[in-house]
Amino acid sequence: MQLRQQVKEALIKDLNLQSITPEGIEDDAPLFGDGLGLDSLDAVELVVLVQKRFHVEIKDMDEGRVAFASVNTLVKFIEERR
Amino acid sequence: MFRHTYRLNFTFGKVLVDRAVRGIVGLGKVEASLEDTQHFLQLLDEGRGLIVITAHVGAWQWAMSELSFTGRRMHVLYRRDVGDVDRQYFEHSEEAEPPHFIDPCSDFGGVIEIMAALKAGEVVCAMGDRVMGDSGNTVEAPLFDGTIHLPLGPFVIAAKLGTPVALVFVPRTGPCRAQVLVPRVFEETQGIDPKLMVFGLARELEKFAQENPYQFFNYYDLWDLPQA
Repeated sequence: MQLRQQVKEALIKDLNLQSITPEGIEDDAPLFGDGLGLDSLDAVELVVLVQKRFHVEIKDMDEGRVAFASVNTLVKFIEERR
Repeated sequence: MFRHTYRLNFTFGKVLVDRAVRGIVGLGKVEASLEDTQHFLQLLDEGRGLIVITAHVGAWQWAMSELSFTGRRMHVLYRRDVGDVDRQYFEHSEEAEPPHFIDPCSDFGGVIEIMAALKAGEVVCAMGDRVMGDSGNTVEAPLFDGTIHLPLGPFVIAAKLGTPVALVFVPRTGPCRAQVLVPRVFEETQGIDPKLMVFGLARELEKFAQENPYQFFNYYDLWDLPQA
């Protein structure tokens, strides 16, 4: 399975986005705010998700801003670091 | 009512004078029991970090900086209001390493910074009795026959990372003197329902306010919840 698909499925499962399908998540849409609508508590889940499922650590805010901009940036971040 | 209001404000005035004396002259002392100190150090030695939850009670403004007795770097979750001088107080204190501030209104509510600090085995201090930043992440908890909103964020992080949480109140005990009280420590937090810790905080807050009715300084209507 492609990493992009894995990321989307992990987002839906771990963040309990029950009404959303992987196809419904746009690759370039923002994860936080207007796009997927995640909030700060979701950020906690997201940091843990990325570490547990993809063995990549978000070490600081700068990395978080880059990685958590969209699905595409998150996939790129994971690919570069694992 | 006038008498109670007067005493509450008078006590708050004393706390502010204490803070000024402590900050300018350096006089004053915060007492922590050896047992609590050792307990904190033991928890920190486990490498899981420590979340200290306090509240707007007693001498919180100047006592937080004294929690550096743990010897670990301390981070304070703090939203600076207009005209607020608390941050300068900490930054210009004589502590060897003043606390690092994390803005709860920054990107992702500051959670990435908080989690990084805890993973490094450091101390994160947050006010547990007032919502800052993302106001949507709250829990309704009972307090004095009513219901208030308390922030959930720090407890969610604790439950995810398995970080111990200490509830800490610092009542003023005399001129420029305060005492660190640790009414409760949640040691094993991994996977537990964060709401249980919030309810625990509400219970301890209620108990503290009953025992120290003129040292609870939340000057707004806690029970005026927004309608759903």
